[in-house]
Amino acid sequence: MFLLDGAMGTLLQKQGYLTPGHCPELSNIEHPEAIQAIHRSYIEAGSDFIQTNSFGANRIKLGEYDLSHRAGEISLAAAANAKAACAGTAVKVLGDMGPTGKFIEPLGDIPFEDVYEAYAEQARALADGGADILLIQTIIDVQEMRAALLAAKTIAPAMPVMCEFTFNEDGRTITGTTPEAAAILLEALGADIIGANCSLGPGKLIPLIQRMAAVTSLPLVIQPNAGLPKLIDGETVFPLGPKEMAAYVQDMVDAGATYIGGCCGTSPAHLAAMRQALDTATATAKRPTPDKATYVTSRTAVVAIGSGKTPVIIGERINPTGRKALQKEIRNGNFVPVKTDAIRQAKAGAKLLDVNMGVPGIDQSIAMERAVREISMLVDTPLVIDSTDPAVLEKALRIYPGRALINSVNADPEQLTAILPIAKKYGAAVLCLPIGPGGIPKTAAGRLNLVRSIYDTARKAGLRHEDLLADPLVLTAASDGSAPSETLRTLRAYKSELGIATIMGLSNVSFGLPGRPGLNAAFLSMALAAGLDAPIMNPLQTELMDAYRRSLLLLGHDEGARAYVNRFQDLPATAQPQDAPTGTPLEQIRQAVRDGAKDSIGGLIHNALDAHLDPLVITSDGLTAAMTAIGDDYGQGRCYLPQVMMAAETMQAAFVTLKESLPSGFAMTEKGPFVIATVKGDVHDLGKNIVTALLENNGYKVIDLGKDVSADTIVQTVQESKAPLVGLSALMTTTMPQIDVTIAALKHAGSPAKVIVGGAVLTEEYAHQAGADAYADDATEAVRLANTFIGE
Amino acid sequence: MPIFNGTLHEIDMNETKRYAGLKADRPFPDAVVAEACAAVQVLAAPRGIFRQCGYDPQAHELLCDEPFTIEGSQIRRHLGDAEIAIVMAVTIGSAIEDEIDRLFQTKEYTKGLLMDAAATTATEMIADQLNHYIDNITVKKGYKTTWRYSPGYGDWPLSQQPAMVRAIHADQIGITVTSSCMLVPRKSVTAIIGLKRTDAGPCEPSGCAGCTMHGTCASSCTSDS
Repeated sequence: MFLLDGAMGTLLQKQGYLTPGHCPELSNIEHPEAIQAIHRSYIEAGSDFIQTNSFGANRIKLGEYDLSHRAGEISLAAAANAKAACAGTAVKVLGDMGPTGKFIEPLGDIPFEDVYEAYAEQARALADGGADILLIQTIIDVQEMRAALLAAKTIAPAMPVMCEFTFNEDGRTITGTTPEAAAILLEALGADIIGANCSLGPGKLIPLIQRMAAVTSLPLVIQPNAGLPKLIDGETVFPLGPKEMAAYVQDMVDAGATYIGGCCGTSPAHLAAMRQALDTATATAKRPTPDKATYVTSRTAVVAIGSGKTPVIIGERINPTGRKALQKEIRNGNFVPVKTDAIRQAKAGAKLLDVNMGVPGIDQSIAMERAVREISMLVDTPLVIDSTDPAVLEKALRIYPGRALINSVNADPEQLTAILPIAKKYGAAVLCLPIGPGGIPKTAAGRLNLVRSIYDTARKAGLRHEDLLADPLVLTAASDGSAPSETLRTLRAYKSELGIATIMGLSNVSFGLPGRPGLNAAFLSMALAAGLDAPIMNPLQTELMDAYRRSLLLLGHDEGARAYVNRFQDLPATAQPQDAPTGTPLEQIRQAVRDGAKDSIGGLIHNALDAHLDPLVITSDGLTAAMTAIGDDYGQGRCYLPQVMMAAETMQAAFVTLKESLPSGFAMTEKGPFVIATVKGDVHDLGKNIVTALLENNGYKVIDLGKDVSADTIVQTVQESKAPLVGLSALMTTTMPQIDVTIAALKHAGSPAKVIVGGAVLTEEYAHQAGADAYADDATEAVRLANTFIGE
Repeated sequence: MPIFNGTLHEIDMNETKRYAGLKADRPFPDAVVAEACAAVQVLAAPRGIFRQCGYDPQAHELLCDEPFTIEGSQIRRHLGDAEIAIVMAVTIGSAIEDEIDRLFQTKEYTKGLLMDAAATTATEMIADQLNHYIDNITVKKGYKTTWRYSPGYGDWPLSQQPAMVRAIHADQIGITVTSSCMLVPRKSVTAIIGLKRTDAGPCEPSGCAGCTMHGTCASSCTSDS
């Protein structure tokens, strides 16, 4: 067990070296003797490790002092000072790298590579200056940690790296990473010692270290603050004294930490007390052994695959293979469908998302990088990078904010040589496919052998057992009746012989056969029973999802049958449509409008026409009557605006049906026209749009001039169209005066049109003094007023 | 000017319904609301920026690049004796507004209306995330933050919006202000947060109680309005 040191900044400040606007790390060059003295005070207190005074010495943070150009020089000096202070002792030097102070794109505005370069520069300087271990600390976002850790491992591969995140009271970093997600990512990336520092006192930080201990076997480090600070008389005061901090040391050890120190608010006195406590602390009983499941993470979520864990769904939809429309969108740079697919699949129950950008004729690595970047901002499901192109994998994995899964590698030695090092570098898990020079082996034994050879090669390349998963591959039952059972045999063999997590796609099995969804669903159930841990499937397909849920219950993965009951108990024995066919055709039409049933209104209109009802009667007694009724309800607060909108859309659907069904065409006499606009200077138009929608559905021709419309334009339009009605909308007190201006302009031009005004800040009184003919406090009132004015 | 854009992993459907004028206890097809929320998630481009300035509590002056006096008794009382203020701005961009316009033109009124509400929800979420981040970094230094206050709240005149936008350098995240003091893109928020020492008294309670629209607001959650 080792004692680290405590705060540097507080001591620098006490000794008068930290004046406002002065860079703390510059003291390494300006006052080396003071820095070395502080280091020695911690060594005397009993520290086994001291941290260089280089916390903010990366070039990005130094930019705040215009000292970026001296970044290398400062870190070199910091390491040299620490080294000098340690001379003649067994104390070791931790080369300290703190945050840049910025967030990496797209969460912030700084590119990943800029941060990587800054840390590479700092790591080089600290290593050259004699640091024994590189320390990356007080990091609040995974991307920054990844950039720093990748830089450290690339620049100084032989040097151990210690990584500390900073967590908040809710047990997450500010951007949502849990201790578990952090530990899994760090271990996969090759960190040597991991843990947490800063922000929290020991009481709150110790449980977080305990959570890390459950998912990793790596040595753990903890450096809490001396409690939560208070500002007293302009000074930041930390409440915990040396004795109180020392009292936590045994708990820190019990939680699994073997590297113990203090952060903000601690001093040599604190560390001396902690030294005493550490010397008499009893070493912890064995650390819990983490299970052997494969863990994949995003910034905020952790998903376990294999090792008896509940099977999880990998959403397959983000794949342009055979989807011409999607290919076109991706080629045109429109990623809306990709993002929509991501959200839909996550909502439907996918716990991971497969991402494939295999569109011919584009730079797939750029497309994949963009897809990964944008999808990881939208959903917290970890991603499966579906490509066998090393260039694509490199680009995507570099910026993925978590621990991803590569889909896939096969037994081709060239491919393995190209991809395995990428997987190791970025800590990715790898899916192994049994495809060799002779193609796909027909038998389970053959596939097992191929996977075993990939597995051995991967282990030699430094990947761990839990980094590797296997796919048994699925061939269509149409061409080979024994293929599906061979796949199931392969799954069982993977489990019994290799103990490896398994992943499998489904749809191949039914290729060329009818009834594909049902067949895929049956195969899914069989595969889950045979040991499939993660199916790659479409979570939007109800039949498949139901098979999944049923299998989970039957295989013992649904405690108390909760998920199953939740899904199936509400299925009615017989469907009960809301618009049960009772009542006359007109009654049914009115009800459909009332219910917003725009899908069924077409059929009801046809019924009414078949019953020889006059289209004008259908319109007035079926449609308009219903709209008026719902308008009244809305005015009385008995229903709400979205319901009014749905009724309006239903009206629209009805009109479309009427127009299509009548050989002579269907034309309602159009009332109005009604000129409507949001006044000059005002850019809000939702209310105006709603009024327009209702007017159109009440038989009005509406001339919508849009928003920010000048009085002159309104006057001109009114005169040209001879509109009898004008509607003006303004949302803010600052634009209300334009109502007055517009009305005055209309009057000045001699227009006889009636003016109705509306908008959140408008009132009856204001409308009156502005010269309006009426004030409408909601959209249905506007329609009523319009009808009154034209004598309906 | 630190940038923190936040993430939109989920847009709260209940909040969206509330902003659309739907009371939570009334049934409404969730699928329509979910679709609007998903559409906003896909089109949103969240951006956030903030800046720390001094504040003179006697003169009520915000000591930013172009210092100005903050008007309004409620905001002044809210900031109290704070000597540091953080001014912040967020937006979710203009792609959503364009899509809503298009939806109304193609007569998909309901989705348009719900997307507008979801967009408001999303903007508040991004503002909350930035606010949370700001709270975090100030707590470490021993400060307590007031809740965020925007021009137009209470009696803080909207006419000070342009000064705020300049103080925050909100143009760096694509926010501008019209001559009528409206933010563009529409789904944007600017706000001020006061920093008080932790041994100072409690801050004013947040929420609807202090707003001039209290009692008449359609978006109120309380059952009595």
